[in-house]
Amino acid sequence: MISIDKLEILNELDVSNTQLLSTYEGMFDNEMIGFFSRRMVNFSYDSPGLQKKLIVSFIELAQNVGYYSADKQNDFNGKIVGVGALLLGLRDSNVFFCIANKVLNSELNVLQRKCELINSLNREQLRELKRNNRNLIPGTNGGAHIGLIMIALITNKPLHIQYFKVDDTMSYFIIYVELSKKRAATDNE
Amino acid sequence: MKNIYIKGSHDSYFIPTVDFNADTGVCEISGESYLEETIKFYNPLFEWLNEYFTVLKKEITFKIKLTYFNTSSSKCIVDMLNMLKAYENSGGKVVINWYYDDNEEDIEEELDEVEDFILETGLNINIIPFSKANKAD
Repeated sequence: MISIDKLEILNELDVSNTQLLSTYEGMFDNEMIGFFSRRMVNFSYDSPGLQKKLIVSFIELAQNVGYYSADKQNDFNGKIVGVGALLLGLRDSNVFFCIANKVLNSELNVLQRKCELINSLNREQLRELKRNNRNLIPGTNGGAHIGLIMIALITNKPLHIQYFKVDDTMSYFIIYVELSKKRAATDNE
Repeated sequence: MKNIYIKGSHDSYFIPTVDFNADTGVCEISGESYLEETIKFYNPLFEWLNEYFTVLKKEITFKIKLTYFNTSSSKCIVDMLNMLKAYENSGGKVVINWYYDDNEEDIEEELDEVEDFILETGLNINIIPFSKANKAD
């Protein structure tokens, strides 16, 4: 499995004000998603809307791992579920999580191009891309082809991505999301 | 024609409450939609709507009171809205109300999503805050 020191994306964090709360490696089945969603609910937020953004982002990305990770296992019911890794932490007034899963090298280019496209678009362009993609034929498990677009829209930030090669067949795809629990100060405050 | 009623629940998955009434023509989906098998859940709703449009051909009022739906659910919502648009284009009378919690802040993305549904389908969707819901209904 992936080890935390491979997650160079975390090197950008100022560890002096970072608190790592949870790490997880294993199946991204629904019990796991439910457990960590409830964990995130328990942080204090300025508004339910901010809490919702974080949990919605997490559920979307975690579901992607469950469906699309190239590394899979059977759960207790014999259902095939994707395997990945999660880090969850706090940094000042922000909550962050980092999700990693294996992808086939043959699919990596497509994924990279998709992320680069998303990061090159402004908000209105992202919404247009979402509208266009949603009209495509559903993917596996009813996927709407818009998960990563939604992350960019919800967080209002570019996707923060890292890839590294595991072997000739697979690479790790890692996405980092950080959201504030506090509402941004306005000019009137 | 039978009505559909599904009682929503919030366990490992979030099942929305569905109340489609063929007698009154009022159809409501509320709660949260995050499902294990999204298409399997929504297929009976598509079939019900198809029967309503082809057999009863009455006015339909569609009320959406979803506070959360994942991207797979959003695809099914668009598909239902496209069915409503096709019915409207064929002469059917369609009213669609989307309700949101106006007490909740930071809901810009939610309202953007509804605007995008309008743009994707060409439908006129009334966006109604919950605080005014009783007056609008």
